[in-house]
Amino acid sequence: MIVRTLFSVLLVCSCFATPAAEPLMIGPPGGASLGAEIFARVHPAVVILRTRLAGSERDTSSGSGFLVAPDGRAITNYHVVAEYLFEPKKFALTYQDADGATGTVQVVAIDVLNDLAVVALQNLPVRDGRRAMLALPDSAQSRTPQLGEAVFAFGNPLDLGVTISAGSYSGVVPGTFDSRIHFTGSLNPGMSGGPAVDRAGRLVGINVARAVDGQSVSFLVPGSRATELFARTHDATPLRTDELRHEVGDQLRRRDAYMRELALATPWRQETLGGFLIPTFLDDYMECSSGSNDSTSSPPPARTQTISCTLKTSAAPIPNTRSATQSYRNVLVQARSSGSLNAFQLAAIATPAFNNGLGSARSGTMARQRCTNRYTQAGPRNDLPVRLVWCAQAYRDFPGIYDVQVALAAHDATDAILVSRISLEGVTWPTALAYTNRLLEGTERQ
Amino acid sequence: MSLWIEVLTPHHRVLSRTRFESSRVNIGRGYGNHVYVDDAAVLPEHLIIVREGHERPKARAIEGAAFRLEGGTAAVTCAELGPTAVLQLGSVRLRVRTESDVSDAPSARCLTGLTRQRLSHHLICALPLTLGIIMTALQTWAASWSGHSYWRHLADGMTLLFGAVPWVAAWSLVSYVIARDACVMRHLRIAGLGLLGLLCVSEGLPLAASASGLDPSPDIYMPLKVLVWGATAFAHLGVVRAGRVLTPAVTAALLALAAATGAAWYHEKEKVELTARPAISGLVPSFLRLVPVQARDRLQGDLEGMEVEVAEARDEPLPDGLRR
Repeated sequence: MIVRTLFSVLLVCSCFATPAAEPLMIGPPGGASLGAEIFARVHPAVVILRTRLAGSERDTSSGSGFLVAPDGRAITNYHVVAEYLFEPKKFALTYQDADGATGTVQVVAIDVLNDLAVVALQNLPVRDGRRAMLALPDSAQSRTPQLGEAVFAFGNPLDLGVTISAGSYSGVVPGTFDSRIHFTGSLNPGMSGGPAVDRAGRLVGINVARAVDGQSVSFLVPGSRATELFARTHDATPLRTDELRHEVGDQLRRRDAYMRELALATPWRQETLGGFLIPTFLDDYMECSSGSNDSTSSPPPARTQTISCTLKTSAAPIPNTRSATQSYRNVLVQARSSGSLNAFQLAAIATPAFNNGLGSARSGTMARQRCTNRYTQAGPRNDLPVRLVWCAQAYRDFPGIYDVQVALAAHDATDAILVSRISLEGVTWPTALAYTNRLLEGTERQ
Repeated sequence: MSLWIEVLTPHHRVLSRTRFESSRVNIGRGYGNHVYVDDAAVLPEHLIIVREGHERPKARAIEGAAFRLEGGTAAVTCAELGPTAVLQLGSVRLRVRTESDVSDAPSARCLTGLTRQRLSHHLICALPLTLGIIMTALQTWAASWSGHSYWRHLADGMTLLFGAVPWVAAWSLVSYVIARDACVMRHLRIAGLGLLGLLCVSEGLPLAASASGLDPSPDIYMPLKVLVWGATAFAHLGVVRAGRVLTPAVTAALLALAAATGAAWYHEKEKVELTARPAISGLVPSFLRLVPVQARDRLQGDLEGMEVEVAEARDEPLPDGLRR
């Protein structure tokens, strides 16, 4: 499972003495050790971004970024600035450059799906008439590193100061909507938004996440995405935070439309679970696992088989809350032997799979959840009676965007109960209905 | 020389007839009486029936009490009882008969009337608690993941007695101290009914909700439970005070109970307001389903229409605790 880090470091591309109006390109390293050489060149362009409580000197989080334009525009992760974006009265964004100079930060543009943001560093000092920057790759001529090629990530891990972390390029993660580069190096909290460069100092990607259950399995946003976002900003004019939140909603709707189109265009498939056929969703983009409680040493009275799938990538439109992901889970509960459990006991065993976590609490970002509870028909011939609970909750900041949870239980038989759950975060109503229809159509007895 | 005491309906149908081989029969609400009258208007020791020789029996009210003769206009404290005289004690009607009045005296082989009356009364009083134990065992059996038989869970249900016995004993003690009448059976019946009420709210209501496809708001459960607790405590208090005038102490207790009920409800409402987590009832066997299966296209239409309601929730004011 991929989990985004909340903090990140930034990494800079370096360079000396370039007129303020011109970006400084990094040349091939030479002389000293490779890491030291690259660090010396990139470090000056890396900045540390801090989110602070307004009126306080204390940080609530820190991340990284890197300068890409002489007017003080820098690239970072969306999740580094999101906290400020949603609560501008409560938080303030500040930067600290390589020389220790500090100032405030304004957000210029965001790309929620690729977790990128362009920020403007206010009153950034110029040293010796030059400003160190890292050049964004030209999307037309961008070079794809070779597998195994050395990559160096920069950032501010655990607020220890800007450091360099060596690793290698391991290709693009397959089956993701928003392409992610697999970086086999160490990324730590605080490094989000920092640059990752190749041995020639060219931007490869932007630090974004790591796999919490892995070792040195980290992810980068391709540099070309930053180029595309930067190209949409004409100058360093910051947007108001309400405009930016509106933009988040628009991007979520575009993402939803894209994913719905993709889902509807992809042939639906069914797989077998016990005596049932169940539908699958977006096979190529899901990370699935299966499990069972079967044990020969102490067999439980009911055998449970589970198939769980989650989208490989997700967006994080609201800090520290939702991840705009999609997942589904199918659980089959069967009595170990005929007559060993009565219908009540079987239902009791299946109940947690059906309703645990189904209700969501209201929060500052989410409105009250509404649920409807129905008995309806499933299967292509409408011959399987099922109980369906359908819950939806609106995002306060994004009109037309919802979190939807669907629970289906097929429990007409006395020996087995099938429970299917779908969780859709950050989707529109038509998408939720389309998934529900597919769930009902695709669930049947074998 | 015998006496027969008959309990009558308002239409003079004989409900029970009890034979006493004694010239003196005590009647009252206390258990020390020969004839037990379960009526709040009857004192623990209310009346004595006395028969001397072959004379007609006489009724004498015990100090402070009185009774009426059916057809009479005033309460009396002493009266000779003719063959058709009917005594009125609260809502209970009694007729006293002698050998010459009855030709179908009960068989001596049967249990004595007093024993039978008390036994049946005790059984009736214990019935709610017994049902509560059975229901609890049923509930644990139905929800069991172990697949054990019902009888194994019945032992678990019996553990309710660990709570019920001290509860009834405490109220009986209070009754005895205040009213000189422990009223054990009445407290037992009230405790059993209270238990049944709580089981209906905590187990029966979710079951019914699931079977009917309705999921009531979670804030309904706590007020209902408080209501059941309140009604149970109120009934116990009523027994303690024998249903008489509301003294300042009882009034204060009732007011405190009402205030506690309101506070509990308000607290729960506030909590629900903060969390707003809908309650989703568990699964029940499909044969318990009470509502018809809805056609899928109709469901689709309902879900489409639900968007307005969900979207409107965005405009609901946010509780203070959730403000950003």
